[in-house]
Amino acid sequence: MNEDRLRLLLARIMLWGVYLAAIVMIAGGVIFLLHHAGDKPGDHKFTGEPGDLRHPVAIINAALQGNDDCLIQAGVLLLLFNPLVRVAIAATGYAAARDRLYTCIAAIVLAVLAISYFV
Amino acid sequence: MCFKYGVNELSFDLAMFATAIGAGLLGSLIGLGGGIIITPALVLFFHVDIRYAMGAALASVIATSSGAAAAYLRDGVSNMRIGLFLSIATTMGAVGGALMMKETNPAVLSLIFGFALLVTAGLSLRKNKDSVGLELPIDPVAAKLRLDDALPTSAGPQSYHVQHVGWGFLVMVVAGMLSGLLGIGSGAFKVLGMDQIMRIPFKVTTTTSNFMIGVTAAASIGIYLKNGYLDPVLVFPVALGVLVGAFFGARLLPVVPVALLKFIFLAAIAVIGIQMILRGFNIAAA
Repeated sequence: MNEDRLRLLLARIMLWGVYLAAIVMIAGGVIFLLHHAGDKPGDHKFTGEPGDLRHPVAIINAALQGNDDCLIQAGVLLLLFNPLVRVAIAATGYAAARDRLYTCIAAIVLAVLAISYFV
Repeated sequence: MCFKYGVNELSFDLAMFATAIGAGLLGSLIGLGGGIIITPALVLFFHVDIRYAMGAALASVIATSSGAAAAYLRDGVSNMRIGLFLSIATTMGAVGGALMMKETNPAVLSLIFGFALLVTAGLSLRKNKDSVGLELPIDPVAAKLRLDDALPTSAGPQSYHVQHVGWGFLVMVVAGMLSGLLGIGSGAFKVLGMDQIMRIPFKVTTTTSNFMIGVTAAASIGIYLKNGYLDPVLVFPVALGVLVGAFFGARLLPVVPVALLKFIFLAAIAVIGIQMILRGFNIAAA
């Protein structure tokens, strides 16, 4: 795969990633508002989000059980994974082109991104 | 000048959505990300805690950068090798910045944010001189990393030579730190490093920085998520609104008087920057 084809593939995947994330967020948002439209909003004071809104696995589990704000958060997660996928595909593309230097560079970026989820 | 806080979740989300559309629209018209506008708007007008505001802004940065970078990747101007190589610097900076943010008092965050706004407004006013066609020497490090490329123009491909790779890399570490610390894309700082120090043609700079912004933001958002700064109920109207705003902004760009708009809103951003600084002092004093 040459760099131009890699570019086009990346462009397409990024757009679809954003669309998918937006759809999940809208679905979660609408369901949330159906249940909570009249509640008092609470963002003026910082309390930190509860544990099930902080960890990817917990978020996805709760979203699958139909929890509304976790469904929004799952959409947010999809959004966050978009750049990760972007770099992973770039790494794969460079590896396929036997470009050792840029496979390494993409892998380093990927490693930093992965580490950031664990620090 | 502040509005009453939303009475219920529905009106609050609608207000957030409308504000975010405005921020995305303005951001794309004057060439800034929505992130740097949305956080002060949420903090100053709606009294959202700055940490929640930064979380929502950072998520919206990823959304717009992915959308815009997709368009830029297609036209072949952006330089993926430069983008990936400098992403090493920005992501490491971003992880550091986000870890610093966790330990920083909100009053201090407000102060730093204010200064970042002032610097951003100053940087954006600067005239961009394009280094295309300049005879720059070949930098051995850039050559080794194969960063040099050609820019497609109407007069055929124009080759360019990247300069001062080490300094550029350092500036990107700082840009990444600011991104993680303040929940912004820090596009203005990235462009500064690539354009002024590495002497990369302006067109390549802006499009490549867009690719990097999303990757940079992704390096700190995990830390935001884990510390509970991402409130889904705030993130969803903000991220969607900024996306919608940026989408229409890109289409309005050819028909609006951009130079005038840019001047007016950069002045407004400077005023907002001063307000954020004052707010920082007020919280600290209270």
